[in-house]
Amino acid sequence: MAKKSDLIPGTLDMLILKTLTRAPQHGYGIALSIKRLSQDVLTVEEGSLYPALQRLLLQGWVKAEWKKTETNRRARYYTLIAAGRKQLGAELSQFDQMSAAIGRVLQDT
Amino acid sequence: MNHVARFFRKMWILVRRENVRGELAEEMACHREHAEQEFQADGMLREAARYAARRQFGNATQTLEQSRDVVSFGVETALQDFRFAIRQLRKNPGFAATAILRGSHGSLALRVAIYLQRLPETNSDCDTQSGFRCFREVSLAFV
Repeated sequence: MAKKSDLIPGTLDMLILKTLTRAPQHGYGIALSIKRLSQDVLTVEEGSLYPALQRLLLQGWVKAEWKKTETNRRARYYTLIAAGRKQLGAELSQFDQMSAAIGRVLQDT
Repeated sequence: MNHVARFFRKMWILVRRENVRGELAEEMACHREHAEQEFQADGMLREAARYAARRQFGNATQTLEQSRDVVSFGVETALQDFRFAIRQLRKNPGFAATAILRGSHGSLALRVAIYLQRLPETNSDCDTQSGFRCFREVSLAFV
C-alpha cells in the first residue's frame, strides 16, 4: 500500500470543487470521496478540510444547506455553484500547465 | 465586485457568529460520528471506534477556531484581544490600580519636573530661580 501523503499545497480547493461536480456532499462525504478515488493515497485532514470549506463559502464558489442524511441525521451539504465551476476550470488549467512544466524539467536528460 | 460580495458575506457571518460557531461544531460532530460508524462497520468495538474517530479528527477546538478565522474580520480579533486585556485587568484589580496610578502619577510628575526645569530659563530673579531649582530636585527625585 502506498504511503499516506499530504496533499500538494494549493490543491485542496481544487479537489473539493471537483468532488462536488458529481453531487452535493457533506464534509465527511468529501473527505471520504477524495480518499477512495485516490485509493487511500490522499487523506484530507479535517483540520484543513473545514477551514477550506469556509473559504470556499466565503468566495461564493459553493453554497451550503442543512439536509437530512440517509441515517436521518442533520448534515451540512455543499453544492457547487456557477462561480465555483468557473473557478474549478481556472484551477484545473493552471494545474495542467504546472504539471506539464514539471514534467518537462524531469524528463530533461 | 467579488470583494464587495465577500465583505457582505463576512458581515452576515459576523452578525450570526454564534450560529456560525454552533453550525461548525455540529458539522464536525457529524463528521466524527460518520467516522465512528465506519470504524464500527470495519469491525471495531463501539468505544474503540469512538476513540479512533476522535483521534483521527484531531484537535476539534483548534479546527473550529481555524475555520472561524477564515471568515472573521481582523477587527474581530482585535476586539477579542481588547476584551481579553480588560478581563485580565478585572481578574487582578490590584495590578490594574497600580498600573493606572503609576502611569498617571509618573506622567504628572514628569510634566511638573519639565515645567519647573523650563521656568528658571525665562526668569531673571535669582532667588526665585534657586527656589525653583530646589523644587526641581525634589520633583525629579519623585519621578
